[in-house]
Amino acid sequence: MTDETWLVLGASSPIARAVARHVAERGRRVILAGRDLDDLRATAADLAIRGAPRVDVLPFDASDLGSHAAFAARCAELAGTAPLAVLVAFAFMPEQPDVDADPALVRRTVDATFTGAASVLHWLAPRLESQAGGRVVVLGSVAGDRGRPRNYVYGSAKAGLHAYLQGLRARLHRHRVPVTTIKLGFVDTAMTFGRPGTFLVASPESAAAAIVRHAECGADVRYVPSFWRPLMLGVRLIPERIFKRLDV
Amino acid sequence: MPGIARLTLRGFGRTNSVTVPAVRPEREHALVAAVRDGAPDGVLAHGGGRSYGDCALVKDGTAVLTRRLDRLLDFDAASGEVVCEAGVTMGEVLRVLGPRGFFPPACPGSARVTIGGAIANDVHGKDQARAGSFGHHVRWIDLVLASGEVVRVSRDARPELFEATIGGVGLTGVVLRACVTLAAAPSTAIAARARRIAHLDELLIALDQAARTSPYLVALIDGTARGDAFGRGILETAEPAPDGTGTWLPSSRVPEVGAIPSVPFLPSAIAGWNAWRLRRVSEAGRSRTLAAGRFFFPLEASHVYTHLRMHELHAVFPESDAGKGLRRVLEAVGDSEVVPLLVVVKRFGRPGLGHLSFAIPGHSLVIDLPAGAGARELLDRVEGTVAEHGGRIYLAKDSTLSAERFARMYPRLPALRRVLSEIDPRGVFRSELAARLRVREASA
Repeated sequence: MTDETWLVLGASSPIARAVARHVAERGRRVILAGRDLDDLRATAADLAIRGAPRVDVLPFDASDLGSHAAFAARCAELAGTAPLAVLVAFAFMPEQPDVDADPALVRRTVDATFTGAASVLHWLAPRLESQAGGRVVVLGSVAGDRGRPRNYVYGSAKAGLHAYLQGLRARLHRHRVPVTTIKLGFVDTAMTFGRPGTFLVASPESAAAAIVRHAECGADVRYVPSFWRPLMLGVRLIPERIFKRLDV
Repeated sequence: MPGIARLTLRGFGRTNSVTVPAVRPEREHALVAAVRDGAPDGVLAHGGGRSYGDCALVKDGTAVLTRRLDRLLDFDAASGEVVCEAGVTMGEVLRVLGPRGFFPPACPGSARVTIGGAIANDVHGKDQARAGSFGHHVRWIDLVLASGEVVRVSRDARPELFEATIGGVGLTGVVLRACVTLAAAPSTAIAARARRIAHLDELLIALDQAARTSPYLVALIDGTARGDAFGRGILETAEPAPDGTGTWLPSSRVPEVGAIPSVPFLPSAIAGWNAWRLRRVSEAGRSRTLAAGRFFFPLEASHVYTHLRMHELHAVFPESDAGKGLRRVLEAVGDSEVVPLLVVVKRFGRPGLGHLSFAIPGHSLVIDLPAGAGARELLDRVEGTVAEHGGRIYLAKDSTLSAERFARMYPRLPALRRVLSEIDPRGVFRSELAARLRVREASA
């Protein structure tokens, strides 16, 4: 576990940054991937000061599916003989009214949230199968547990991602690489800042601590914060006949 | 609009609050954009929220929360120079770089003070007499101006803007990054000695002596003592311990809540508490080694105390005054019906760099007064006394000073005004404090 190289996809998000700090302080190597390279370089400097023996920055665009093969090869090359631990932390969540006004956003949402994640994980999968150790942890969402009028395009992309991970989990299980789905509730990031209707918001640091804990013990599916599990069980149990009338 | 939240921001004393649109950039270019976008309506940076009064609050404008820009960008273990973003806290510097042999310089009493806030208020610690204020340790600042332009200011590059920004209470711009020289530390522990002080005269002598031998010194005074015991207390002197570990930092999980409702403080209870604290230090004195965080950040030790609604009177009197102003203020507080919860005296040695820097060589006095009946009247009287004795009030703590007294206390105000009228003629950067003290206008 100690020689894992953490590949952080979507490393500009506060949760990804906090996870990266967590593993950097425990002396892991980190590869930061995302679009805003200036921002990633600042995070890389921070991680190096906090104890990461080496930090690399790679350009990565989830929606540019054509680039994923080369990207996966480059990651494998950077990791060398070390097993990869992969964190998928990117997503795109526009406001539902904006999607309703501009249906072109449906494609952008699904591409960035589902297709990009499934694609890059698929390109990485052969390498994950062949390595000794490593892990995959993907940030899903409670929004994927049930489609709600307020957020169903994003929610359906996350639901697809959850299903994809079930399959990937079975595939990589044969190679002893755990795949952890984290179903996130509200976390205090730019995604929730100033959004009406958010409650019991967790800090990125506490969410990151839980994510690393679940990933390192090889959990399958976990809610973060954990109280979302009974809450979403309740939400899922509401009959569709009633649910469709609710304004949630 | 996404990304903009209406938030209620409070001063740390819980006496002042505003509900304003706030943005919380997570990337540097977003901070620059936030300043540019907010400029037409006014902007003020808000960091750790540890300023007591209204200096980090803006009513007409956008609050730019800097806490998410909290990365360390460069660190030189040989020189102790660290480059970091504005939202890095003192506690984080200690936690990450303490074990590598460095303490935050001029470290204030709260771990949550940000580097940006430390610059804007030119904060100081228990080592002011020797180490000066925070500004003395700042090599350069990357400052976001009203236009959105980012400029690097230092003692050599645009020194006039550098001196206006150190202690400039956020009126020159928003700190994006800064380079700070940290204080070398042999371990992450502090060796402290405490001894009893019988009365005020002894305190003043003891402080002068201690300043010659110890880097850190602070005196806790029993504000309720009268007669021969007037000014009695405990003098604590300290230095970095040669060895020892433990940085100790407060849990970040304790939620920030509004304010604990005002409770009446019985004078006898506070007097009893003070007497008990005094007795804890034996006649012979007390020596101990403690984790640096426990020593630096007393404010993090009690979550109840820091949620009380209070005014923190913080004044400094010049050396030439030789304790006369200090005595008069303590007497005035003793004669009033307001019970002082905490009284702290420190020795200052180096004047601050900035135009509105608080520190001047002399004695600093902190008195925590519960908000409510009589507090404002007492503060008004005491502020008059401070002005008469050539002293000044710390803007980071203030919520009651008048514009006239402010202008009298800060003789370099005209120099700051000249800089502000040049770099921010439209008054983009503003605060409740700046409006109350008429920082921008020449007084009529």
